[in-house]
Amino acid sequence: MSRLTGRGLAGALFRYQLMANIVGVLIIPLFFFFFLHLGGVGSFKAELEVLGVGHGYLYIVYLITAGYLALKARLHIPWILLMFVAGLVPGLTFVVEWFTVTRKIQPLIAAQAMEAGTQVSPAAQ
Amino acid sequence: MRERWLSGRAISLHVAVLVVVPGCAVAAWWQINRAQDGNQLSYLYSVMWPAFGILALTFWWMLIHTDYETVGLRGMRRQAMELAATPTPGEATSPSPPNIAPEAPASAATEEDPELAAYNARLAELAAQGPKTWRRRESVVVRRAP
Repeated sequence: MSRLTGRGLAGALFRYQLMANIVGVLIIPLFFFFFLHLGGVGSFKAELEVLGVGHGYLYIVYLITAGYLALKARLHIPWILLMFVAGLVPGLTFVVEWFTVTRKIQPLIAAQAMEAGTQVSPAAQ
Repeated sequence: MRERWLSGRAISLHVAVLVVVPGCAVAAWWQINRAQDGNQLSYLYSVMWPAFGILALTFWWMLIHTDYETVGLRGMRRQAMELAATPTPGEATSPSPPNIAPEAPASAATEEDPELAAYNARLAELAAQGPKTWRRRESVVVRRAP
């Protein structure tokens, strides 16, 4: 629960991962029904409305969490745009989330742990 | 000031926000018109598009005011290299926590004053708070000389 409300990097990362997975899961049936609709299998009006509106509003939350993580971790603008676009493409959400965590956040956390280990401990002793 | 608002990064942000925000406004207007024509779904979308526009403005402002020179992974590495190059404390180019932290325990080691210990704990807490953001700009005034 503290990860949901925490103001540090860990909280931002957890919220981003949560929203990335929610949005990434939601967009798959949305596109599935959309292509069925295009293919003339059926209308699927109710499904498309529910999934479309749900994804639209959850995507706003996803944008907020991704932007907050980008501010916390000082990601670069192309990467931020990639994170934003990933919420609109089925499957890409999971890939981008994986690379964000492994390539961007984990090195930062490791570096911060080293910084804290070398610089905070003398004052805390 | 000039570095903040006119760097290449800032200008790309300005261009992005100048494209995205009018785009969101146009899309919102389009959805409002569709809603008035009787499209139920468009009522929701006419709220959503302004929300996207406001988000774009918010992130533009926050990204402009984020000091990329002194924080983040690259900033931390650069600071570490600068500290290694110039070990004299009190340098105006590096933020205060790494400099203040080693100074305090020198006097604390001689006498175990609880007040001083609390002060040191507060310093350690400040040092552990991590990078500064646009929210705490009083700590971000440290900038490298142009």
